[in-house]
Amino acid sequence: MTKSGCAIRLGVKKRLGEFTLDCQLDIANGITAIFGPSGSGKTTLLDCIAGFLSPDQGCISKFGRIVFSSERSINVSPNKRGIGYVVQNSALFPHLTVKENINYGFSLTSEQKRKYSLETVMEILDIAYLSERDTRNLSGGERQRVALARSLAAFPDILLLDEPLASLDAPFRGLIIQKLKIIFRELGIPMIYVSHSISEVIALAHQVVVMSEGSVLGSGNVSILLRDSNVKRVADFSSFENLLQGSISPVGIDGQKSIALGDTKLILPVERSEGEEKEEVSAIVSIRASDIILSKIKPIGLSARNVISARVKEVHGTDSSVLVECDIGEPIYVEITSLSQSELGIYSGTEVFLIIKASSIMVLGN
Amino acid sequence: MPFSFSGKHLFVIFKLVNLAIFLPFALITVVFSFSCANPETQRIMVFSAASLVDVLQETAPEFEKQTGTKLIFNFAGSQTLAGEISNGGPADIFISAGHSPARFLVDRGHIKEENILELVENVLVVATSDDGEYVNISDIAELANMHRIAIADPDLAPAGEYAKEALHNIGIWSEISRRTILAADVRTALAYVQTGDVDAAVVYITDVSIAKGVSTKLFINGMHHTPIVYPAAVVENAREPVLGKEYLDFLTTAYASSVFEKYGFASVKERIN
Amino acid sequence: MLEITYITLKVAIAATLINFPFALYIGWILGRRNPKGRLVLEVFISLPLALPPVVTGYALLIALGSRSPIGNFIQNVLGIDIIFTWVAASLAAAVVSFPLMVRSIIVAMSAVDPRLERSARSLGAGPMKTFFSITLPLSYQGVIAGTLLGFVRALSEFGATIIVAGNIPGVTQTLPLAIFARVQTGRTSDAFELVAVSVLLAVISLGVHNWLLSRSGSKGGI
Repeated sequence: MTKSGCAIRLGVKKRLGEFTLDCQLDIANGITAIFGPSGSGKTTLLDCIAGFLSPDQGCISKFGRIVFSSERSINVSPNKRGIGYVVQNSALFPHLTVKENINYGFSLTSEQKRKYSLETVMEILDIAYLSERDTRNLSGGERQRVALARSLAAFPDILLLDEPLASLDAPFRGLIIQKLKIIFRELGIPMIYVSHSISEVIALAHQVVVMSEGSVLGSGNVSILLRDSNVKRVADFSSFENLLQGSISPVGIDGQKSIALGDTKLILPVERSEGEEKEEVSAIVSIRASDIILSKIKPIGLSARNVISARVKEVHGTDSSVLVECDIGEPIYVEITSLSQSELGIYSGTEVFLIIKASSIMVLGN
Repeated sequence: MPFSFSGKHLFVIFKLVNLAIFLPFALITVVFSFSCANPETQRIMVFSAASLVDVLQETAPEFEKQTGTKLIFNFAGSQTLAGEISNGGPADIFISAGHSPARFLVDRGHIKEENILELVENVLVVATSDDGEYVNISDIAELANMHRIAIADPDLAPAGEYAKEALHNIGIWSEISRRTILAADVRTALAYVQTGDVDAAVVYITDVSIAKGVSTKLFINGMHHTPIVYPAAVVENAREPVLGKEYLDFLTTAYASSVFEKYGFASVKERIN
Repeated sequence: MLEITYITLKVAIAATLINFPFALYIGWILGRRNPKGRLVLEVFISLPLALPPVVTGYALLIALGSRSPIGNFIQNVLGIDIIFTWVAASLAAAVVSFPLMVRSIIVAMSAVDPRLERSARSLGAGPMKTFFSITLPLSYQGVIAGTLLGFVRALSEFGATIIVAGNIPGVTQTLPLAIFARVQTGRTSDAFELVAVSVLLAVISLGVHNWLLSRSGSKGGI
């Protein structure tokens, strides 16, 4: 089945007490984040798409097929929409084992519609070892992976995720971000996920829809978060973290551990308790934008392990400071004060040096 | 003991506990005596068989107007009331349906035999539905052909005892008993006639009026059963024996008799004739 | 005594079996969904709880008696008698015990996390499948408790039964009715025997309840 056109096209109005949702959206094939402050209606929108909430009026279609239309009195029930939904906190069935959970949607799908096998799904999400386990003693990361596997095993055309990373500890967030990227790459399933974290959105999504108070402020490429003044109002850039994917090499003869990302290599802190890893491992690291120091001249004699040259791509003003987008093969954002920016003369195209302490780099699970 | 109470502590605690126990009782007594009728207003308690409820309530205002004495009624099954009286229930007057409850109290000294007054009599009738198969029944023998009849359960109500006695003496009980429903009470027996689940009910004439769509079709001659009388008496150790006697006298006046008749009761004098 | 016990059990079991599917369905509707007219439904099913059983008995008599449309149909077309038979006693016991059964089930079902059901729906399960594979397995303890509660109530039902089924020895005289008859005629020692049997039945029912729950204790509950 070729996926033509928009993954989701909708125009809906829904009134819930004092709150009104009023959106018009085209969501393309890919990973789309729905971003906004809490109370902006993100989950409500997701519920409408999934079919758990019926809009007061409007139309929703998925790859050209209408699943809801108030005019034509069409309201396809949630189990027939082919839209998967992973809720916050996973909601795994407590009375079934992990395998039974995952098999739930699988067994409800007819044989010809099964595009991939259960084993494939479990392999992608790395949970084969959990098969016979009870769902009650799993870690947060394991629960989320099982929930993802379960949804995928039902062969959805689109997957909705409500704050998939919110309830996870730092190490697991990186893991899930990786898995979501893999799912899209290997299985080709477009995803729409709700998030209130700018860092995650920038790290994961191809497209973003920004919402506030029930309506869409803007949508498009992730960069609108930094460029569109309307959108920036609702974005909270304090404690912005760069979430970068790379591959970690095993500890070398020089006792150093590093991660290759973009066109560069960063030195990582080595933990004494680490075992001897012989292979390269793909991982996500988190570097807070405020932990990176910018220098216009190449510094020498510094204790920081990482000094990297880069070119400034763009400078974004936020209400409290300045976020400098640099290119190291991948975008990396540095937070500096506007005073520093003007004093140093940092603009688009400026060559700079990024100074990053190894200890500022946090590896988020693998 | 972790620490000792001094004598002073104990005294205070004792006082508090006393108060806590005493206070509610005091309150209840005070409230009660205020809520009870003002001692100025006289009142008497009448324990009466339930079948007299209509008559006694209709005549009550007249008595109260004439004498200024307030009537407080307790209507229930006669045997139940007798039991209450023998356990010290505060009745001034007892009116029973049938003799046994009265006899029960005489045997235990709560009523003196010579104080018993036979107030009125009741009559047994056969009642059927006004639009059923048996709307025009003319002979009691027709009961034997019916699909089902109902009487009050003799174990539970005197009306049932009398009905069974009458049917037995008439000679159709052995035929009909298998098809007789022993209802919880007279009202239920009549309800069965209304819903068509029995063809006829044998009940007191005074009960038939409560059932819509059902009426008396046949009278059962009093000779087939012991008289259905309502003995009434002032209870020994009543609080207001004099006022009680006044009430009994009132119930034999022409006015009271007319109300009894209105509801279908016969005066005792008539039967003797 | 054996016959009375047999009748009592027959009536109570039949009443519980009649109630069960309805209680399950209404328990689901009121516990998990939000139907329109919810208040009306709740009041209606609670009526037998609020009214004296005798009133319920009369209501049933009027509804099922020979003259009512339903009663007439059943009697003349189907040729079956209901009033004054053990069937009437079962119906009376069923109506009176229904609120108890259904309220326990409502509570049990509303405790099931709605997100679990939503997940099931988004995985492709329709409402029925969701109910039987998710809602019921997660609430079955409350369902059992409610059913047993209803059963015990049906065992002791008196007021409605005596009206609509009569107190016919060997046919509709259940334990409660038999006890009442003996007490009223002063045969108290006979009554005591029957009371002992009643208590025994209740104790056995509760014992079964506890046994069922403990057996699934390790698997049930969250």
